[in-house]
Amino acid sequence: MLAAATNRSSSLGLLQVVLRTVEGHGTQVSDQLRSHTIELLQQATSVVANPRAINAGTPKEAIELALHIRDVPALSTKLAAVKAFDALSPELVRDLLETLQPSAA
Amino acid sequence: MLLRSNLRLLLAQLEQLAETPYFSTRFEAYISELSDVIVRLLERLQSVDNPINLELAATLADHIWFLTRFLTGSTTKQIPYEVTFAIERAVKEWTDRELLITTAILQESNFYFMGGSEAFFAAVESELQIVIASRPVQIALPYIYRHKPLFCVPLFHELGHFVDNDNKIVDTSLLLSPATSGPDLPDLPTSAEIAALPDLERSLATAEVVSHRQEYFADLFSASYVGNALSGFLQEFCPDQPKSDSHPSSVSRDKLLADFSSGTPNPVIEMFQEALKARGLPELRARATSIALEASFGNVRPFTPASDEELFGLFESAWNFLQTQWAAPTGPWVHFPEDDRVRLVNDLTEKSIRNHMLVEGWNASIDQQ
Repeated sequence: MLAAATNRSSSLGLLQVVLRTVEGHGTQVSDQLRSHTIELLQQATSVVANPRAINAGTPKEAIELALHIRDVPALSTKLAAVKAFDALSPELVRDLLETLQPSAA
Repeated sequence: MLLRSNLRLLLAQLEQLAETPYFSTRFEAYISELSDVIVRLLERLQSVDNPINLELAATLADHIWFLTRFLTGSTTKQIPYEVTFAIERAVKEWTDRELLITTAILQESNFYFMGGSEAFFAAVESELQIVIASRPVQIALPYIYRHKPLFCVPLFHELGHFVDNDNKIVDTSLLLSPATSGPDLPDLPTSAEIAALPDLERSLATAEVVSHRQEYFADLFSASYVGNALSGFLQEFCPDQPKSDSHPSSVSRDKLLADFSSGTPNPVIEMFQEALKARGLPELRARATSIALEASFGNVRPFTPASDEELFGLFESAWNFLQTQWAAPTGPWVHFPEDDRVRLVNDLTEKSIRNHMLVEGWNASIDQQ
């Protein structure tokens, strides 16, 4: 294979692209997408805190993300405290992107 | 340079596809929307005032390429309309979105069911302000089975994987019932054993649990529609498979399906029911009605299903009919060689589905008048 391929069964590809902009990669994305990312992080940390809260309206990205961060309590706690996109530090994003690398849930 | 070039080439291909007479107006509208996405993406890539993130643009372009592949396979005249019709009926229960089902014909013994990424459509809406209402889905099946509906029952299993991934059912089950505490799966270490493993080994064992849960869910999903036709087909397609990292053993799969069929309580089935309920989705239950085919197939005549339940039931009943006539033919079937019996039962099944399609179409046209 020439290069790493996108995992199309994952719903987190877009999230990873948006997060990489925090690390200074390329042009910023729209405010809408930044807000969407924060909502997603908050929903995922809520699911980690209480999986019984999953319902029909829980976005599938939040469920998939929750599975990735569930076993990293320190990261989950830090993410739960983030309320705005600009509050995402490059270090926190790096930790999150690393957590998203392995596919095992 | 390559990114913009790829987009222009994809745009040209979509323009060619738009001229294909096969496509319905729904497909034409979708192709037009996808073309608009490319045009807008190209504009943003060349814009100084309003540029787009390059990695995001590349991700979108990659997905457009992927989605274009769905359309190219469907321009052939090999589409099994009858099987596609049954699949469309089954999927309706699981999504509110309008699905555009396309078909890929494979020269291999493989089946799959593939959809576009919801994140792609969200990004197109937020970054390019284009709303695409319908969702493309592609089903793939072997060329030699395109007119053998009874050999296409694995598509219902693949549909199960699609529904799972589209709603994160297995992921939900893992959050509600983690591999370290959830119901034990046959062939695998117990949840207590997994919980006691060191990090890396626990991660590997969990990955195996994920794969096996995905297969069990897809099996149960398909059994909801085609009953024992899938297990019957699997017994011939891949008999006596041992357990692997990705799949449970044939024996374990059969056992779960038998419990489902007989209504025997099983913690794995209950785990999936709980996840489905959490996601606000229908439960796993038999959607099919068993059909007595002696009067129709027995006289080498097609049947006309009167409902979707009978349409789904046709798969199991026709499979059972084929097994019976293969082993000990009766009536006019004693005159047919074995291979002809296989062909004829599949032909009758296909014609029976078509009867249902025709009757529905006829009734719909009368209702409109």
